[in-house]
Amino acid sequence: MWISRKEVEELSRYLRGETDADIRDNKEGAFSILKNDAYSLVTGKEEQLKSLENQRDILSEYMADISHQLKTPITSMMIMTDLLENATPEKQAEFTRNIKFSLNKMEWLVGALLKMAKLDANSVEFLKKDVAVSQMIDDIMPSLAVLLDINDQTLELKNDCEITCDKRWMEEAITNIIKNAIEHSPKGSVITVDSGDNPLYKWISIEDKGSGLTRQSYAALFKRFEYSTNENGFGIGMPLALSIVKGQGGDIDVDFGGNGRGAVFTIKMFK
Amino acid sequence: MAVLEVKELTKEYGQGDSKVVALDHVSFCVERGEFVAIIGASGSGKSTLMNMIGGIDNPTSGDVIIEGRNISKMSEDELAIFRRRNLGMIYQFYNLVPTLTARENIILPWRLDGRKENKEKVTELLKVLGLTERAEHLPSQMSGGQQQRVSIGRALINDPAFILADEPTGNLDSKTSAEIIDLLKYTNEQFNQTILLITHDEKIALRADRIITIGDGKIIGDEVMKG
Repeated sequence: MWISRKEVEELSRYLRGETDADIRDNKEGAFSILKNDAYSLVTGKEEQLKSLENQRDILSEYMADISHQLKTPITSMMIMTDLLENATPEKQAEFTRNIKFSLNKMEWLVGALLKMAKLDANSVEFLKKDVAVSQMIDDIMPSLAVLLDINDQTLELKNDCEITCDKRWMEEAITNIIKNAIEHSPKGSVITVDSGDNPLYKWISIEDKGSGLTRQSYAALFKRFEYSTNENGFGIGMPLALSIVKGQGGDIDVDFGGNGRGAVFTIKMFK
Repeated sequence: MAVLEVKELTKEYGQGDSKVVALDHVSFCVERGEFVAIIGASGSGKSTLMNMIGGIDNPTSGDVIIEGRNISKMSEDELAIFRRRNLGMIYQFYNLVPTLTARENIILPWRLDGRKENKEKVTELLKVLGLTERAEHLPSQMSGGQQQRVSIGRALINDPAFILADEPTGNLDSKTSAEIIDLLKYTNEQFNQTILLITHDEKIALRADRIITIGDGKIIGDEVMKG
């Protein structure tokens, strides 16, 4: 194998960043392979820098979202407080209720968006431990009880399994998916939670008794603010759940259902 | 830098009255870590597109740029080596070498490059693929699903710019198909592996993060399903 001094110096310059030209040459031989490896190394570094820039862009997008979404509740509250002064006692009670409602919404919204921003910018540290699905369901029941009761629905766990994840965050993701199931299931129905284990991943599934998803509703499902049939929702619950699961190295798979079957959301935690 | 850039890609066959336009000025980009499905009916041009991207066929006009390298301008020899080092291909009919074991099929790209074997990497990969017990078996001793896993291993061994999968589940039952897609998603998630999956099956396409729809040689849809 003949390598000229010029070629070696060219490689040196490339590694020092003094030349932009693509160093690869697609010939046989160990030196060509070395050049290919050098290329992978340099582009790896460039990718890291790009990823940092990306994180900064993600955060500013979230900031724009927060200020945009807050405008409406804030305007509404301003109007309410203006009217409060000269209102009758019953009207005052109504306006105060409205203001409280808007404040709660804002609190939930800001909290959720901040969480998503941190998750998407990879600045959340997850505390992963082995935790049983049944344990997590028990812990989140209190926050779901009222909703289930209003709709006369029940939650059922089929199989239990231990999942390696951050308990607090995972509980939030599961809560959001179940809330979505509650919204889309008819009154009096059962929402089924199941879990299991296979060589690639451990999984938790949530099945509702709704009419399933269409391609359009699926496309909007994980996008912020696009998917909400409920006035109390913001269309943030599902995107947040996805960010939480993806941040821990998992994914959420969706079975559309349809033809009398409800949708099934499966959280898959890759091993 | 985008992992793949397709610019005004056009493929025409024949001339005059009998001219067929298989691809009509197709353009799109794929970034690192994306899991993209390209869906289209038979005759939509998706196989032609895949052959262009994989460098198996040359376009009439337009460019395919992989990691900044314009492959439309390469010679056949250069292209063969570029493919070996930078792309991972998976086919509907596995295309394994029947006289080599699973392990040997997987490290074939290294052997062709004359590289020294990284035993740890192979062992780890076999584990991920669920093929540890089958490592010394021949393709004829394995099921379709297992053979496809060997294919995936071979495609991954060189840490390719992206994996090009042409109807990888076309020859498998629905349960095994789901397992193969799970495996591809695993590599996408854990190794940030970019994947281009060509299919005519909408159910399979919907498991990707982004769906590009092709019809009559043109892109008629490009939708991100999961951010």
